[in-house]
Amino acid sequence: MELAVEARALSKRFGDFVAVDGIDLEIRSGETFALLGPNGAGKTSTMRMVSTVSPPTSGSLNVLGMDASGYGRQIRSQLGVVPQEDQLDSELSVRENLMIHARYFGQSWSDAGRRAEDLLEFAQLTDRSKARVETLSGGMKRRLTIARALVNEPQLVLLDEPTTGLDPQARQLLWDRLYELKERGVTQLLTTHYMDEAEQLADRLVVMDGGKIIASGSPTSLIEESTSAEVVELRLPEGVTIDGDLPFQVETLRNKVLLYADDGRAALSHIQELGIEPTGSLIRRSTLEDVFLALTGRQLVD
Amino acid sequence: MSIVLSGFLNPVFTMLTLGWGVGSLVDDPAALGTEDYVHFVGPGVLAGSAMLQGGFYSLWQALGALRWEGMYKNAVRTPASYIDVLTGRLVWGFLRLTFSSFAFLVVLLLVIGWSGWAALLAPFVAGLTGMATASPILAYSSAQENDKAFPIISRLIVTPLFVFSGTFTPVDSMPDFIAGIVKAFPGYHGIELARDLLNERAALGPSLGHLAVLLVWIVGGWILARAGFRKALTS
Repeated sequence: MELAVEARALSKRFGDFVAVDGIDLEIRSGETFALLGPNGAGKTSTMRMVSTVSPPTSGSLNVLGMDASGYGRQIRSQLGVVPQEDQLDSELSVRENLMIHARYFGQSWSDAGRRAEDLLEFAQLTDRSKARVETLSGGMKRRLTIARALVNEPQLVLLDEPTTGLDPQARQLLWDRLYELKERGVTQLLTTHYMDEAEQLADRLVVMDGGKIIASGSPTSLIEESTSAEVVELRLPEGVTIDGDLPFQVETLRNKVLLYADDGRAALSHIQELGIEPTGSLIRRSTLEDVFLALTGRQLVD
Repeated sequence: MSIVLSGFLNPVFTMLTLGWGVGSLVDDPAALGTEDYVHFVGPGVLAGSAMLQGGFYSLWQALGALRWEGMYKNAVRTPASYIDVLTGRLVWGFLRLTFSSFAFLVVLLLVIGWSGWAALLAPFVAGLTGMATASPILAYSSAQENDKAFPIISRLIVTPLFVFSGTFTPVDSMPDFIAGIVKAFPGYHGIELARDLLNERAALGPSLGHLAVLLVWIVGGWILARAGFRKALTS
């Protein structure tokens, strides 16, 4: 199988600080792959190494079949990068941002212009073509940044926290665009600390924490392997706790209690039979958030 | 637009106030080696103000482009490398200064009269003088994470060089010790060369000598600035 990214024992250190600690990655051509983890897990450092902007401290890294340390220029010519901060040129118009970026890839002005029209349409920004970037909303800037990453028709697109800071509507619109890219066969590597984003978009993912990969697989397989099918979220009155021998796992968090049970309804009845009356309860499917909690004992987003 | 205006109007006003204002106080223009004081100070301001602007181009403006704004960070995600970005910054600075120096040259020639085709080379010399100052300062500023030391560089290095590099008074009239220091810096050579070109007295040998000094500063700065650019853009 063709691999878009292949990393072995990849590490990145800044002085004494270990940002990425010997990870292995295999990302197949055409798939959407997510790096999931809290802030400081090493996701962005990994992305910067894959984009050949940051040299690895040790380990091997192949991107699109080329060695990242020797073929940076060739790799970058086939890569699209959506950085965490948009880094658009705020003094230029929407269209000019795309044109200038295309020129870095050696495209002629006329080719760049034609490509810009297509991308503006893809990003649903055609009517804002002449607007200065500083007048755009956060969601529009994000879509423009994604459009910019596509000017060179990349084989691999890297997206660092693509929807952080966007409202739900803007997120949904962005996910639609990314899904369309996936249907066109573009390989995507994205980082996120949103579990629902990884579940929505990713075929496979790795969970990172403290620079290491602590779990990998498809979203469903990770949920099946690491946690129960359902979760009951309880809010309890002041001073009430749940302990003792129970047929399911209990996780007490700051402001709620989670019951991990394959049958949520039965678990809730069980608690009520013990004489505990929650002030609120919710039965839901397990998510990757629960996987992270089960693996690390910590919540992903505080 | 503001760039062109400041690049053009600054030297024009400097030349007019000093050329005619101070010039009227110069008793013996012959001691300057030029026809009158305007012939002396005009070319001096042409290259000298390019030097001044070259210095500023490598302070706040450079740190902004490198660290505070995203354009350079964006550029290195394309086939361009950090070295391309560095080279591009210096080439762009050269073109910008050469362009604004041409505008200044037009005004200067209206004042001093046509002085031969060699005068048309003077704006290029001004552009090189600017970059010969910009390049080594860029080697320093690109390695900085903040602008704390910039006011000192600006006041103690860039501005004094503008004043003492022979812009307004002949360097050889200064004490030997100071003249020796001034001649090690690129500003003096750019100003001398511009002055020779605009006074119909540029000889090949000395001109190439001045040019060589400018190029050494540009290339030397470029070599040293690579480390700062690498650290800021690709760590």
